[in-house]
Amino acid sequence: MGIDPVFALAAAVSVVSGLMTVTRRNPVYSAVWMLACFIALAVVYLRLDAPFLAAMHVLVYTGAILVLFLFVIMLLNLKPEEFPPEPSLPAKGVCALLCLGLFGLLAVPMWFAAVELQGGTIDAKGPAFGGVEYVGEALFGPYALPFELMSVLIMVAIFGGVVLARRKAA
Amino acid sequence: MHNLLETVFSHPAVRGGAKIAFCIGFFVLALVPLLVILERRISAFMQNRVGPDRVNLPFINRLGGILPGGLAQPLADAIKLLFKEDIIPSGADKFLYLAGPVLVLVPPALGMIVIPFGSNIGGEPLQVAHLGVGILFTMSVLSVAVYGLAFGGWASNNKWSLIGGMRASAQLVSYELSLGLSILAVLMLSGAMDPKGGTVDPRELVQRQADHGWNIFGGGNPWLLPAGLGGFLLFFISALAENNRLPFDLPECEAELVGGYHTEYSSMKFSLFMMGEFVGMILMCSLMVTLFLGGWSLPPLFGALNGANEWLAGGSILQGLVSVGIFVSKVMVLLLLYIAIRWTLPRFKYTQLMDLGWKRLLPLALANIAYVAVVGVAASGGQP
Repeated sequence: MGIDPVFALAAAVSVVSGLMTVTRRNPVYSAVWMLACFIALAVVYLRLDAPFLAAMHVLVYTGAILVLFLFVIMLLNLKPEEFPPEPSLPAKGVCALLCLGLFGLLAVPMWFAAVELQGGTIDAKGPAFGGVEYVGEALFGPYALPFELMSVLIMVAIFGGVVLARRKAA
Repeated sequence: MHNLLETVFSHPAVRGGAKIAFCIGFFVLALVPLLVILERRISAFMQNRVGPDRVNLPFINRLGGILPGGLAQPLADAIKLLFKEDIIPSGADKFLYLAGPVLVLVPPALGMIVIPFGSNIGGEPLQVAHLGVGILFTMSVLSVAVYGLAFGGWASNNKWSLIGGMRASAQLVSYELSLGLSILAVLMLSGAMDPKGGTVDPRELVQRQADHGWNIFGGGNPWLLPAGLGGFLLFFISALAENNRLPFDLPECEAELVGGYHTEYSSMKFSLFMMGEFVGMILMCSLMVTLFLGGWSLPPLFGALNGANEWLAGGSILQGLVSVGIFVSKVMVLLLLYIAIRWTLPRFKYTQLMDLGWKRLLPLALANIAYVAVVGVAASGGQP
């Protein structure tokens, strides 16, 4: 079984643009590369038969969260001389090693899972698997409790934001 | 000849291509110039002026006075804009400066592909792409359009442009909430009366409205009438804000920001911004027609129009074209309403805009959802 070329291209674009996001010094360019990364990720989701996830990803992350990032970046409107200084080479090296280590922690189990799967078949539910109906039934059926707990978590984040904002005003 | 046409059109790629060609050719390329001249003539009429009435279509010359004058004005304007000097400011960020207008025009044009613009011709549904995520696709594509304004404003390296771009991004994020929530309410509303429950498939939404009644009238349930009407109003107001139309056109208000995000744009790049705005309006109105006003169907009122919708879905070429005509007429009525509002209401202050979005429309949209949820469950006899 070969690799789907669209998937491969989108995955490559997402990795490259992700790297560009963290290495640009101009924050607006970081946001632009992040936009490219998000759209490539949406294509990855589409190729993985998860159209609902793709649509929600674009709607929430691209359409709302990244716009707010961009809004704040534009509000600060940093000039080139105000950009953070270039980190030293050892600092860069340590960061790169840490990132690679984290990536390795994720990649090794995935690799073994992939090797295990080579013999068997994935429980393929077809294109309906990632559709609106399936995701909705899963979220409000067997996963209702974790789903509701997630909203409590978000509430906590909102309370935290309010508390922080009030402290600054006082 | 007839057989040849049938053979050619039996190929799915040809039928798909024809539908894409209609979608782009009509909703983007033909309707936009028409809207430009309508906007200018109607504003002139409302302000007791004459407006552009000189440039006529060549050869037909107003067909002996049947056509109004000035119909070819947008064409003349487009030719003029093409030959204008195309200036890129020296301090501008070239790539993002060029990406801005493209990102404004492409998303709304892309969003049109899931809109069913007619019933069917020979069983071929008049909708470019039948996606599982349906309306969600349009919503997510629409939410990307703000980047054109934000990038254009930032890349121009101009304070007015920057403020315009920032205003656009804050405004669009704020009003997307009430827009999305009013869509959610109408999806629940159309699911309340159907045994299959809710759906995000626009074709199915229109079919249900053809069978039971338009969603703006509660989708066949009189108890849901307030939710339908209220939801439509919420959607309409949010759509005005999403399209940066008066009274919400603060990102480009000429009194304080020269032109906002498009201050530094000239020639065709400027007209791409304008086109993007108009295509955005067309998409919003098409969404309203699909979600609330029954798409291509006629309202099943008083039994007088019984059977009309079955006839429209019949599948002959004539029936298909009539259904497209009904859809387009509804979109045109909404567009004329947009234009009339633009030349009637004054512009809000930015604080008022944010107050309206967050403190009025958002709670109202949430209340609307709660109402639909309670009444919907009651209507279906307690069976969710």
